[in-house]
Amino acid sequence: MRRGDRARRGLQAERTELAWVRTGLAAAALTALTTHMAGGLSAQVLAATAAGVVTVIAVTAGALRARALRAHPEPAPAPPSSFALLTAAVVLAGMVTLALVAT
Amino acid sequence: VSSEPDPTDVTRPPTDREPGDDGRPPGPERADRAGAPTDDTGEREPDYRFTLANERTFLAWIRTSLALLAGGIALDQLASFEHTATRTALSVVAVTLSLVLAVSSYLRWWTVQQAMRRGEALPHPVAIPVLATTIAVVAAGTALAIIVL
Repeated sequence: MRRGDRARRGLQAERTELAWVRTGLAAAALTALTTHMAGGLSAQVLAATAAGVVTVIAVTAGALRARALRAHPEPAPAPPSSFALLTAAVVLAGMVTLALVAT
Repeated sequence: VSSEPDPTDVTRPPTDREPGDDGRPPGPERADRAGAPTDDTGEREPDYRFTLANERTFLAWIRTSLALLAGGIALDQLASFEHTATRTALSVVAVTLSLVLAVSSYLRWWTVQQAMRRGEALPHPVAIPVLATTIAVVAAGTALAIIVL
């Protein structure tokens, strides 16, 4: 493999890894914000749990994806379940937030 | 003689080229060049670079959704105007949009991946005008509320 080819492949995977890292960081920031902003202990626990689930899923799926990207020079697509799980967690966090904002 | 590959050489193996580096715009019609048929329907797994690009786009939409969620919370808690109903309404719109975006990001990832497997044109991103319009409405509503209320 030529050096240029290796760099191209490495950068594609690296950018994808970084995208997962950014998503995990965004979820962590949301967790901190919701916990700080929610009024009352029960609302804080609820908001922190919902946003925390998003963070855990994003970080775990990102770590698994990063390992897969490093293992194969031309990686297979990520399993749809990781996308579905992350989407479901964001929807759950959104519904909890909606309930807290509306009440 | 330079050892660097000629970027205009389309005879290079597909994995040696970056999307768009043969002078043609990257597109789904090029995405089926690398894979073998995945099933009887003749679908092919697209070039892994397009797959990764689709994955990053999904993540970007999810981050946009998270940002809207945070924006809705901030609007509800930090807005400087006192009219509670207006504040709540604007927050609800932002949070609802984040929910819609989260679901649409998954659907878009799925439809784009399927389109690339079939070698079809990529679907039009319908969420972008919805996102732009709703953000403009929320921003205008917030500005108006700050001035008037």
